[in-house]
Amino acid sequence: MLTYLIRRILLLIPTLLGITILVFGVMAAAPGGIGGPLLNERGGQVGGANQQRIREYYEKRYGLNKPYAIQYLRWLNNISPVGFRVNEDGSLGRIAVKWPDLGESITQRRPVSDLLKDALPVTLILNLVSIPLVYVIGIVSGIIAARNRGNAADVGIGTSQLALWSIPTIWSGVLLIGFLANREYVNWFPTGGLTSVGSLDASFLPSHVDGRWQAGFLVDRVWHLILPVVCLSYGGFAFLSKLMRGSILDNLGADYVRTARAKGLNENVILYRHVFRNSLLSLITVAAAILPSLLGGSIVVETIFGLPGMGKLSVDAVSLRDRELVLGLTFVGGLIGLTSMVLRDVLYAMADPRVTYD
Amino acid sequence: MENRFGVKDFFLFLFLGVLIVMVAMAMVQYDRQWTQLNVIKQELSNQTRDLTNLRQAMAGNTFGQPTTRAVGDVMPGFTNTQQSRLAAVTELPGYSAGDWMVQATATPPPRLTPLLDSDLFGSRIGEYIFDSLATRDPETLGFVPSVTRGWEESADGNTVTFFLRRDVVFSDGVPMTADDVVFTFELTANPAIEAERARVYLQYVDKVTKVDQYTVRFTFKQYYFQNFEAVASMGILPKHFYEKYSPKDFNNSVGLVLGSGPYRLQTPTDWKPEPGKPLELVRNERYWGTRPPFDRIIWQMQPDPGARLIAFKNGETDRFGAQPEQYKDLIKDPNFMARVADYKFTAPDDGYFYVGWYQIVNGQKTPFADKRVRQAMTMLIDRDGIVRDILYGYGQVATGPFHPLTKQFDDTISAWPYDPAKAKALLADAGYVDRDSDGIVDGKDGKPLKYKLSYPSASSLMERICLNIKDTMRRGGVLCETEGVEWSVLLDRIRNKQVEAQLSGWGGSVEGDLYQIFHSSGIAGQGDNRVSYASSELDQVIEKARTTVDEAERNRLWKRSHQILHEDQPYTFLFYDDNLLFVDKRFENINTTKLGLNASREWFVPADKQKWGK
Repeated sequence: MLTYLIRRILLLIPTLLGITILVFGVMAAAPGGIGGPLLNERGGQVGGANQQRIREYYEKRYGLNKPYAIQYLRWLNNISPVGFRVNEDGSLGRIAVKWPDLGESITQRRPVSDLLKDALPVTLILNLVSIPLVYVIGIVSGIIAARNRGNAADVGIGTSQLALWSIPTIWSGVLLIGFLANREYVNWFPTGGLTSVGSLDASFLPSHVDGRWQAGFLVDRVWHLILPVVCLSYGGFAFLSKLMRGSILDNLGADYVRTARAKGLNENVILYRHVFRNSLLSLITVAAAILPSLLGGSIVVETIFGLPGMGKLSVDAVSLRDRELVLGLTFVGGLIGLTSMVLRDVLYAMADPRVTYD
Repeated sequence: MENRFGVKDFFLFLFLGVLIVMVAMAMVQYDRQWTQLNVIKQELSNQTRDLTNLRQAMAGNTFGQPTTRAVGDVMPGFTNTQQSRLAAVTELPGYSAGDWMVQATATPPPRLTPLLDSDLFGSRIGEYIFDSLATRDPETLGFVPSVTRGWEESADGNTVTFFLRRDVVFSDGVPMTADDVVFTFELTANPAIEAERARVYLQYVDKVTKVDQYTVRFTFKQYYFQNFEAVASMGILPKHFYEKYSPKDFNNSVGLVLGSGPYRLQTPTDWKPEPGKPLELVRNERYWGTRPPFDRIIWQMQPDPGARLIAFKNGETDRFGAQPEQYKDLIKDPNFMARVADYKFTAPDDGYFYVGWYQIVNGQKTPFADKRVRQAMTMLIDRDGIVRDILYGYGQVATGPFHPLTKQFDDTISAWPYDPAKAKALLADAGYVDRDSDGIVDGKDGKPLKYKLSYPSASSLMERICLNIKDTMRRGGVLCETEGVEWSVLLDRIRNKQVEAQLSGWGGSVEGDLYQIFHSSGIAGQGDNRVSYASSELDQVIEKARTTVDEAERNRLWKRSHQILHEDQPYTFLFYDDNLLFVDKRFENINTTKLGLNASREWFVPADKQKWGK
């Protein structure tokens, strides 16, 4: 097990290198040049020679005037925990142990790590609410469907969840705002953002101020989260529910269930104590995707509800050819994705005694 | 079976989870309190300083003397000032200070530190927070004193001496002096500061000298008509605040914002972009001039245009800039119009849309090198139809590069008409006739006249315009292919002169310079004369105008350049589109000026209609 684990972890390094080289190559080959739009925009409408001057200033500033191989190796050196120190003027210093540096975004001129720090909380808060919701509803409805296999409940759950799954968020999001956050219909929810005007001045918990009730910061925040969370979660039920249903039905047909029934065990005990636990095994595979998906945002939901998180950050980075930001996002995303895959395999071996890697 | 995960454990974990969440939330709350505490501490120290100053003034017996007001008196020869206009607003019937103005914007600004920001939003905020030496009067379009009492310009225009008011203070209570002005320009000129763009505008400034505590003199290397505007419109930065930061810290900062303007950030150092959180400016209580009407100005971040409209309809925001197709429907909606007022206006800095005809592509001359072909192209574009059908009438046909509200614009010029017959005659004149009777005109070599019209693919407006042009071109016997190209790719192609014709927009200003895009020196290398248009007469006119000190004479030259460009049609100037704005009805004194709408500092909400901050 330990050798397997070490082997897997060591394998992460070439995989990550491959990912970053690929992304770097694509960015370098993209028409319009790296950070091109921005360097152009900075030049804006100032004259030709002046624009050239501005372009050169920023190309030098971000090292874009060096050969691609050097640029990549520099980036690699910066993210590596052991490597050359980079001096103020850009020359290389001594080899040392240092804090990995994801570089600076060309379009926003801020450290990539800062941009991640800004965008991550939004994505995390949305996903931390919606993912458990999806799992609970998916699993519970899967069990109900399996118990009532072939009945109206099974068909009803199946069709309604598939129907939800087929509704595109880009449409439902706009409809939700248009009908539930619109004074012309019902105005129950805010149109977007995370805080209302003035709620930052309010107290944290609901309170009684000047003779009237004030919702406070917390309630306001929850109120803003409802519509985006609905949009993020409704499409996810079908998949988990079907998976759970299939897995439970498989197990219900297994020999050990027949044995249990023959022993005269209560059907509920069979279902929840034996079948349910065994059925969860197949969900481990799916659960490995939780970690990466916690960090991955949805560009559609983020745009409609005005919550710029990881999704918008990534899409903007690509469309503006912000190489440092794209590389940083791929690197972090790749690292977390690959780690959770290793974690999944380990968990599998722990949960299911039939699985070994030796 | 002993260590099984049961219902009890589940509740235990649930309880633990809730506990952790509550601790985290308590930490967030504590953090909020801590920030608030810092704000209060800062305020207190500022107030202490104010008190000290007050006490000193009283001890020196200067307090209450009539001289205190005279320090801000304007010099003779300057009748209007920025402040006189603002003060007049407070005399209006129903005027009342108070309320907030809430607006929505698509993307949060990445940073607010001055000089560094490149986006429009940063400069829009800058107008609220920083004062400049002079501002443009929205009626006369001339410069009027702002934090200055006036200025003296030498006859050759190469020296300008500004006399500062003595009552101007920054929002932390420290008075503004000549040192701050000198510092601002030294900071900008420092190559270690990433303000290359700002430096380009100030490239003709030779030196900035402090004559005395309240007098600053600018000397220019050579006369250029935009020199005065470049120095007069820079936001003045407080030396005592910004000199604490090294160039590196300054470059890496996101929210170092302290100025003398009517508004300020809650804290001058702590702002950072936070997704989903509105950007708030609060009224500068120490503002030296007329008290601005609104206590707060707030920008909500809302990238989705549909949601922005709904937020405005709900009354969550106070203003909404509409697209022509939205505007025409919304003004017919009685429910909507009962609560809002609509404003349709145009401003000199809106700029124009154009089609550029590339005379040299890949080193080869194109048919557009012939003036008659270019004129024919213009007459094959139904500009009135484009304004009518695509802009729904909210725009006007352009005749040249200058905005009709500016003094550079020659109003005797009438636009080329949409006239396919005349266009065909001109084309025939240039050697393009339909030789094989397929409805398309052919050159002398028998090849049909066709070209590719490129436009930025992100813009659906431009796509519709291109399709309209394609249609009318075909009717005139010219084949036009349209091609949407991603902006960065298009820019690359434009720079390398690889497009044949291109639809785009160009920004305007109150007094623009044509040198960059139409002078023949911009043809070579990476210059901006990408259509390779050369006219020796225009070159001379532009060169002369740029160095003419006398404004009337200069404008006469600009008008002449307008005429030449109209005749030569290096571009087909399409139209200026109107700004379409809805504002909540509670706001009053919103007027159209020659600069567009009057500044929101001149708007107000009568006391009985005020909504926020009570």
